[in-house]
Amino acid sequence: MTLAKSRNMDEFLKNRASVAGLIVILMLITAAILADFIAPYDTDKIALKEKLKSPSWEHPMGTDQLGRDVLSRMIYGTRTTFELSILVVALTSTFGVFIGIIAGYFRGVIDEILMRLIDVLLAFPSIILALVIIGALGPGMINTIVAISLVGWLFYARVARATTLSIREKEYIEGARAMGCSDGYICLRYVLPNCLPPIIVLMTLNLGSVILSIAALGYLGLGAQPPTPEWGSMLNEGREYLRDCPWLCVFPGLMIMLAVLAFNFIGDGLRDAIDPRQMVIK
Amino acid sequence: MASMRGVSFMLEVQGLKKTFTSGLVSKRSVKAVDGISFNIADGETFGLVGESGCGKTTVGRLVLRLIEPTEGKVIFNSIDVLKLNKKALRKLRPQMQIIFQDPESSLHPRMKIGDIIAEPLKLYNLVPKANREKKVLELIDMVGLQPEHVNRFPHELSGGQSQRVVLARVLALGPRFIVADEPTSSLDVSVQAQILSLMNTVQEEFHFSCLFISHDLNLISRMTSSMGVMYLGKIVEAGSTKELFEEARHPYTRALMSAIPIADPQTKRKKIVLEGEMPSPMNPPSGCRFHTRCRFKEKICEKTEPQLIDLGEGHRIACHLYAAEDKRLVIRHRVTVEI
Repeated sequence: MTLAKSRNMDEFLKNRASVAGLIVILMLITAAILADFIAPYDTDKIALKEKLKSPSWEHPMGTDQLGRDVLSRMIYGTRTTFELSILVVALTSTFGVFIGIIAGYFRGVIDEILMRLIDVLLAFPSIILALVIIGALGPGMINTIVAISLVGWLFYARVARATTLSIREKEYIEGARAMGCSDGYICLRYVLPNCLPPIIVLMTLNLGSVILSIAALGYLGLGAQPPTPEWGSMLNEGREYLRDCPWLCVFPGLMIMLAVLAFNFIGDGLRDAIDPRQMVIK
Repeated sequence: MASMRGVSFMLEVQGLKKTFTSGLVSKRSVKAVDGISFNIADGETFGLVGESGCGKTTVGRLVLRLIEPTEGKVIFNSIDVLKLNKKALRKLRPQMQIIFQDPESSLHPRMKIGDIIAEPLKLYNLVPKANREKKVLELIDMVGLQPEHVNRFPHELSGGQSQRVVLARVLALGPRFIVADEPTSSLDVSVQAQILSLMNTVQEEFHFSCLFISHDLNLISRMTSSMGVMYLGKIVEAGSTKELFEEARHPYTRALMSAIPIADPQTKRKKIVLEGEMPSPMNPPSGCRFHTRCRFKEKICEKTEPQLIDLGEGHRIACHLYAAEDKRLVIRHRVTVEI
């Protein structure tokens, strides 16, 4: 493993786009964590005298319609976005992998029922389903998490099931059964560790699309509610001033693009580095 | 049977059958194993030989109940294995182990060798925690590996080394019976020999019975004291290995025996080449399953299935040529054989 791991690491580091993505994400995470120290202004401090100022040395990204510093709001927005998206991915991947392993390991009726349920859920366009759920539960951060998670776990379940199907035919699984290990033990100690590599790739790629969904719901006014700074809702607020004060939209837009792109690059690099033939099937 | 001959058997298999079915609406079925019986004495190694696809691997899995048999009886150490419930079966499992063909996929790829060998000790608390490391090193030494292998991962080992790890892990449980399913067929010939002599050594030391499954007659002759020849899910001939190698009776066994290479260019010998492929087990031939490829085929072979009859001293054979009531065929066969 040590050998394979370092070889994978080398492979990953060779991919420049992935390394760039990793650096961007690390910077964003640092900004999110240290927001209290690096944000130059209070995000909620309204200063109508200063409203709609264009970028300057005092306000590098300008100010919004209420005179709040856009840079500070961007930094705190990073925190909101990352908190939400990491929570969503943690929830969906855990639940999805759990369901996927159960379906793939036990096969039969359980598998059939779970997979048909997933097929039905996948038939709905995810963003519309999310709108329906928020429409029913009301807007807000918690409900955003629920709405996105409800569809998000499906992909993890699918991938985990497929990987489990190939792992359960391995002789070490049969050997464990011959040793008298219980099904639960085999799933936890034998199947789970061996089906993680593709799941990790999926998680990175998925983080990007979750960030996009959160921004979309925020833009529609259904996600984080003002005055909480969030990239999507900042876009929405700046929309009215797009012609005169483009910086209100340009910076959040760029930020969303940068974060999503960075995660996708990392995911691509990981996918190439973790060779499935080498890591999963073996 | 056990009491009849006064020998205690470690494993008795009677009329074992497995039918695999597929398809929801139009069910298709394959009789992979169709009524197999054999006994393995305590400490003995029984060989099962046959072409690929004849069901020998399935027999190994069925005996351990890794696949549920459709019918039949498996009695291990006077316990009826097929009647056990899930919990009781799990309790019995450590005593019945299996070694697989592909050593590289027999080991958890993300566990260190030391942990792999220690796992059974941990699971059944066979050795107190403080002594575990010592026990692992003991086992590692016994199967001919070095102490530094403890910290390696399976992919850092060669096939032969991996198979040694598998053996160490199996031995950690102290089994009474081991199924060896082509344990050396994916190894180099030189490594093969090492693993086989290792198996012989540990069998003497740990005293377990063994079901040795292989398609290689040389291995069977070297490793086993009695054997069975399988064809399309059935045993066609069985007996002591010595007798079968010296005096094989069934046309199929004879063909197999004649295909063993002899390391002497001067020896002239007629090879019996079987025509055609083994028929599909989905649609086995009527009567004797071997009649489509048999040189001594008679009319009766196409219609009636031959039963296993005892020729004496445990030499059993399923062939009409040896059915006692039809002497004519026996004579004809003898004549043909002598030519």
